[in-house]
Amino acid sequence: MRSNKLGYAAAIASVLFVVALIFSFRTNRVEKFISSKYLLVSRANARSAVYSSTKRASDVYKEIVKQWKPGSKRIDSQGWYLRYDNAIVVVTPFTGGSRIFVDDARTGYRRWYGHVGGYFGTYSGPAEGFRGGGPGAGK
Amino acid sequence: MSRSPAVNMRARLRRYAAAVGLPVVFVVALFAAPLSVSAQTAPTDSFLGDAEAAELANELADAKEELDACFGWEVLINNSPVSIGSNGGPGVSVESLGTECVESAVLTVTLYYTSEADEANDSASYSLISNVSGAPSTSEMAAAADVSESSFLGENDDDALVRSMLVVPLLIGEVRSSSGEAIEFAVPETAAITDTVNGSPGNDVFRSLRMPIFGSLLFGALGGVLIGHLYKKSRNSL
Repeated sequence: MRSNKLGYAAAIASVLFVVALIFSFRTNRVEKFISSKYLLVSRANARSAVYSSTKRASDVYKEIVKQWKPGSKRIDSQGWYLRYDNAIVVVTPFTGGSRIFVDDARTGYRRWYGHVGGYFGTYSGPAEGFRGGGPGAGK
Repeated sequence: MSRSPAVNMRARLRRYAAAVGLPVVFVVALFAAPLSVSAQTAPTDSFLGDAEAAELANELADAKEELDACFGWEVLINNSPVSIGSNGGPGVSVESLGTECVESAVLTVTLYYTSEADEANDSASYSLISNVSGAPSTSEMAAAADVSESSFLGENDDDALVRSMLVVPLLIGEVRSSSGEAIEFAVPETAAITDTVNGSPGNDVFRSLRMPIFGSLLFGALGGVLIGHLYKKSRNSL
């Protein structure tokens, strides 16, 4: 009798574990973590939001990737670009701290194309040689 | 009129040179032609490749505009330079930019490759020589760019170089911004492009919580086996 109860308890626990796992897969996202941890500056629409932090950008970057490992990432002289399942997160230094930009993957790719084009997706832009520095140089 | 032995010798040498020289010139030309073609097409930067070296130099040129400091890199393999570049361009060292660079930061990566049979003893080190205020230490660079010395010995050694170089102006910029210095940063508008982001990089939850998930599944499986064993034992004892 006792062993039957144990068996039932194990079966119920397994089902609960699987349900919790599925729920976690569906609701937990990097966007949720960022919105709960950093100050919302602006939200253009459901697809794009900007957050701020008084911490340095490198510290913010480390906090985010520690909690949510990106699928791929890129660094350039302006920031950290993180590719997630449904989002592109960009962390940049900003006066007094840092800014965190969160876009859905498609919007983010279009916004940050000049930085992540060819890394997170297709790239049909021109191959570029050295264009030189000095006054007037720019992207 | 007989010729002197010296004149005879020179005449013999000329005939010999004419007989041997023509084929030699032909053979040399045969081999030199493909060599000169390959010299034109071979990348001048054997570590990064020309396109990547140009892209890195462009990024550093932008960084110089923003931070008013020069940035450069140098990669040495067994003490021979294989990749040099700066905000002045690929193949251009910071030193050669002269007075343009009052403040500068130069990343030097040193690799030592041993024989193929002795791969375990390959070694790498990197250092940043800089007089720019706010320049990061190598440990700060490692944490911010996710690089270690072994990154320069792996398949993605070129990527490690690019990341560790670009993180230098990035970290200098953030030190200046956190101290209140205004940072000019224009958020780009979404571009009208036909290119698209690649397919999913995988589930974020699974990637981030892989170990807890596997641990839970393993624990659950072992628990199931244990319960099954206890159940069987209790039935047998009845």
